[in-house]
Amino acid sequence: MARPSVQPLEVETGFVDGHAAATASLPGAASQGVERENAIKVFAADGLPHRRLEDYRYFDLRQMLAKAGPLALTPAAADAAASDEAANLFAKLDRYVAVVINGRLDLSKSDLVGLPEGVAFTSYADAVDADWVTAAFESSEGPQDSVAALNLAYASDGIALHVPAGVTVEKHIDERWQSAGNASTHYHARSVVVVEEGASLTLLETRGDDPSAPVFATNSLRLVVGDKATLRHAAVYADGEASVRIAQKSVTIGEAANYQTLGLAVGAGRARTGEHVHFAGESAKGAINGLSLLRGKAVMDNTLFADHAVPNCNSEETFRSVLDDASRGVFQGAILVRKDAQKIDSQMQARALLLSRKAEMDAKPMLEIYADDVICAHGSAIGEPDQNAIFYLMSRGIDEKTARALLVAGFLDDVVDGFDTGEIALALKTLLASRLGAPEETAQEVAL
Amino acid sequence: MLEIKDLHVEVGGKEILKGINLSLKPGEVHAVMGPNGSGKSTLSYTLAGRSGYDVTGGSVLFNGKDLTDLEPNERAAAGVFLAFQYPTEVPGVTTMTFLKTALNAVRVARGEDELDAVRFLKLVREKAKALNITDDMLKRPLNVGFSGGEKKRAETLQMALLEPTFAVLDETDSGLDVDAMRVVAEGVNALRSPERSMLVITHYQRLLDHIVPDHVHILSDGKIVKSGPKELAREVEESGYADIKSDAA
Repeated sequence: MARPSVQPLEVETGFVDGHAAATASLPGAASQGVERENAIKVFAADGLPHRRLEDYRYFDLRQMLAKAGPLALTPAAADAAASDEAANLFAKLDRYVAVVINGRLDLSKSDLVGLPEGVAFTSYADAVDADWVTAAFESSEGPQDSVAALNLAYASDGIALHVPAGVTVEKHIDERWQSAGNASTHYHARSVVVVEEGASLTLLETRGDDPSAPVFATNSLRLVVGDKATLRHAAVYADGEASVRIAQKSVTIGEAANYQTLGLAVGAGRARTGEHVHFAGESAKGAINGLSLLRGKAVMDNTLFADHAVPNCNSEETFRSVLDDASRGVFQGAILVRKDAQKIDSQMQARALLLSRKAEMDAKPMLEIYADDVICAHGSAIGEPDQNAIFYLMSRGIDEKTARALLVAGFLDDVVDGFDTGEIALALKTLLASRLGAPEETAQEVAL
Repeated sequence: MLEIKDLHVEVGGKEILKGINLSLKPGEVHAVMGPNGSGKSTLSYTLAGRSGYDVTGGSVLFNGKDLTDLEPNERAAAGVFLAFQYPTEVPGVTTMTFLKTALNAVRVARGEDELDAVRFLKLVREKAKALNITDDMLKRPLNVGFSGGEKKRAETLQMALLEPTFAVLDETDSGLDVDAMRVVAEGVNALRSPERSMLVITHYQRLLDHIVPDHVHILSDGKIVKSGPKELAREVEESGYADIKSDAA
């Protein structure tokens, strides 16, 4: 990654110059310090990513932070002010709760009592030197760009969750990430979740910011789904208007394992999820879904790389965006099928509904296939709500505004239904309906 | 109850309906038959208020009110219902949610109270059962993946729930085999009442064996060229539309 021949931004210099002072408060043994030193050197050389790099073509982080001065590393704990509905989204579900404030796990606000025996749930800071954590990060195939370097250099905390072989975690685990603070702050979190062979887990994640807080956050999430294991991950991003947030997910799916994820962006800020999914074991299954419901000047960038390294895997990537006002959606999806990865079935689809003339969708699906016996398809469609369907609904007595809201909600609900048919789906669909002013499906109807 | 007077309609600048006159009394069932391109679907869409169907002349009085001034949802509230020839698929919107939204919208517009989930479920299940519509179908997204018969039964269920006083059935027999047509026709016949009139639009006479009309009109080139009793339908079946047209000429 060559640095453009331009002056470093004040914010970039701030990250580099401030690192030595910050590192004293960062976790781990001496070896971690060495890694951090190396990482900040990488960042110093490369700087923030910008639009001349293909991966960040539609998410020019350098420009987004161009006017930011040096950012202050957030205080260790702040009173969370996240008031957004998303923060309590899964309140009705029987679940464990982990509260993470400004990237730090706050056990005093969490409720993890009764986790099955053997399941380890700690802060990343406490687990950073554990062998399983080191192994998980070492086996990651995720991108090593300058954002990853910045994240590693400053990582203060996050969560570390280990589910031993054969254990099914019946109740969902709900991670509630909140950020708060009235100064320009940044935080960098690293999380790791390992679901060992035959184990099963559903992880929920909601992110809500204090709407007034100008926050820059990077989140690195390493997921390892062991052989025959199941991991479901639903994340709701309700970023505040002034926030810039980058998530980098690196996922490895083992033999006959099942990974399903749904990211739902309903925030007002600028956010990007870069997901790298490595199909490492034969007959692995992955369903990667992304939904965006944006207005104002919100931006959501979903950049996905699905790497099929072995035969007989099945992957589905479904991304849908509903864009109003001057919001912008981005989908960059690449499917790689390596030479020996025969009998892959991979379907990638990106669709967007534009509700305003100023809204923008950039979609770039790509296939790179080196095996000769595979079924791979990709498609992209950008349009407006279907006039025929609006007329049909109106002809049944539904007013135009409600008809549109129903259709748009349906466009997104369709994908939610593919992810879950129970209480998670109901919570997500209720959120979408309330955002859109659409009639809500009731629990009785769902239970039918 | 319904009075169509000298109705002229253009679609995309081309005149399709060229002066339709039609009068329905409460409880009457009229059939409109006609060859392809005669304007049958234009008539049904115009009555339901689809955009793009410009009324350039005439009027459609429904209980004294001009329908052409009303939005499609206002027409539905007033008691107009169109059973679509090709019901639109609406992905992601469950049939149940749709039915409840529609029914409550119409109820509120008619000055009735909204039904809560429990009362609604009871009502919809009772009506659905009579049409052989399962809970599973109600849970599925509206019309998505429904067979031809399922779609038409779902249309009939909507009609049964919304209780219109005037229903237009646009080629309800298309895409149906004989058995499916019988189920739908029974559902429609069950809705016949002294207060409710219907306009049955069809290309073939066979539907009219099951839904027997009081009057039959032949539509050709945007005009009603012949009207008569139910036997007129059989006449058309035997001699074809070409003869009728030449009669009129």
